[in-house]
Amino acid sequence: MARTTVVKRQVVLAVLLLVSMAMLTWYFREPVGGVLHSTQRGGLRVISPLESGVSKVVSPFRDSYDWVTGIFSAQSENESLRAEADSLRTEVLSLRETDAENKRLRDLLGFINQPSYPRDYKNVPSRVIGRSGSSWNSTITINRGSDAGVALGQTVVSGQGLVGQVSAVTTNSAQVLLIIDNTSHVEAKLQNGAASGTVVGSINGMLEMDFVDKDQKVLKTDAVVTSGTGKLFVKGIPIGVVDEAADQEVEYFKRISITPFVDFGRLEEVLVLIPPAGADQAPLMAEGAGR
Amino acid sequence: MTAPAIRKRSRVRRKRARVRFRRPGTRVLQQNAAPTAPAAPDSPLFMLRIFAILLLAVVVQTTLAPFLTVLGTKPDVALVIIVCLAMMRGPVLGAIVGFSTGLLIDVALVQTLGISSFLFTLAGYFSGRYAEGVDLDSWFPPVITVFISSLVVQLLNSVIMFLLGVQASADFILLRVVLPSAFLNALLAAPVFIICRWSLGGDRKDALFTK
Repeated sequence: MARTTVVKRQVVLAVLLLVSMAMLTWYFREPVGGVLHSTQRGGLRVISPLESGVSKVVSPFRDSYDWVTGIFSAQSENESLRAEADSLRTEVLSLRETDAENKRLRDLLGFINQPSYPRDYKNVPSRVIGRSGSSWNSTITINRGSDAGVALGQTVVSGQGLVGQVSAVTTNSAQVLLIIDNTSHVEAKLQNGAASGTVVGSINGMLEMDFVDKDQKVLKTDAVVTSGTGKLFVKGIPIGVVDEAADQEVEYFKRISITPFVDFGRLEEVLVLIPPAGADQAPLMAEGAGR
Repeated sequence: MTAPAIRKRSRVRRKRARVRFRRPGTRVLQQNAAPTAPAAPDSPLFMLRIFAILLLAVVVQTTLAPFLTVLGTKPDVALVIIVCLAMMRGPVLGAIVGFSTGLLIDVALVQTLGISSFLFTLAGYFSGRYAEGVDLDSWFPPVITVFISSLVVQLLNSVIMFLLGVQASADFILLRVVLPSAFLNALLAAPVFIICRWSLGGDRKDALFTK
């Protein structure tokens, strides 16, 4: 190779490198509005449409590439997403449970703020920790006992209304006889004062109000509340709503079917109403409730 | 002359034409590529082809390469094309194409003007110089040249970036940028070399400043 050729090559290389270095230094030192920056912006304006066009053209190929590479990572991604979904499902269930609990506690709080709540009574919030295993009786077990002030015969309510009466007490738990139990008797009246009687439970979980004077006019949807007679239950606690009023010729009294306000199948939290000190607390259980 | 005889004669002519352009011993890289007719280095056709390749390199590098991420790194398609061109057409053309491509990439990517042109000029020139002494009929020279060029360009780029105030740990640069990029570029070397040779036609005799 001729020496002149070698020199020409080296000159070309040196010139190109020098131009590059000069541009680099100049570009780095000049302000954003400088000549090189402006030139670059001008060049970009020319190149951009070309890039944009090519980008649109290659877009399907790029998508295909992404699709193919996505297949390789799909398996591991699928596993991690499944794990995440399981975790989120558990979290959602937990949050739903918390939400439901929150709602129930708000209901309880709402009940405390209602006019029917006996103002001079204290309350012991309790959680339902057990239910009767037999279909012959309807009781629940709560997680508060005599240590918390719970005593035999005290009225138990939920946010919707009357639940029952404490039928057995230990130091840290208590059993509550539900008003739907077939041995439960609650002295009650219609909220409008039109009639009074005794609400009894039944094995099928329904409530009936017995011993109602036949002459009394009872309307469907009338509310039934505790009357407080005999001081077995706190007065004015909502029990349910009249579903049907049977008026049979052969009976001495009118029998009223009542739909309870409380959904006994979903009881989670209840309040035990503790009468004020020195008050005439019900010493006895309703008849048949002391087993 | 009958129609079948004419068809046979044209088949023979086409076959002869292919044989005429095939270099001896070019089994590896030219087996599947029928080269286009060679053009003189100073002819408009040659310059047009070079310009088209240069533009293609810039467009591919700025539009397609960013999406071809493999192992966290992107291929430097423009560098691979420059090295392949330089190996086929000599160091001077390699340097000129490298400079021009680098400049366009700096404009298109709104980078500091001069960095890519500086690095690609070096890569083009020294790749062309290296190729003068090797047999280009094997797949190995383009691959190793692209690999080493990528390493050097990336390392020099890191040094320039460091001088311009960009901070990054050395092991990160080496393990996550320089080496993966060099391997990825080396993988592209053989196919890009075949495409470049096919599109330019001819051989290194057409290169600038070789005599």
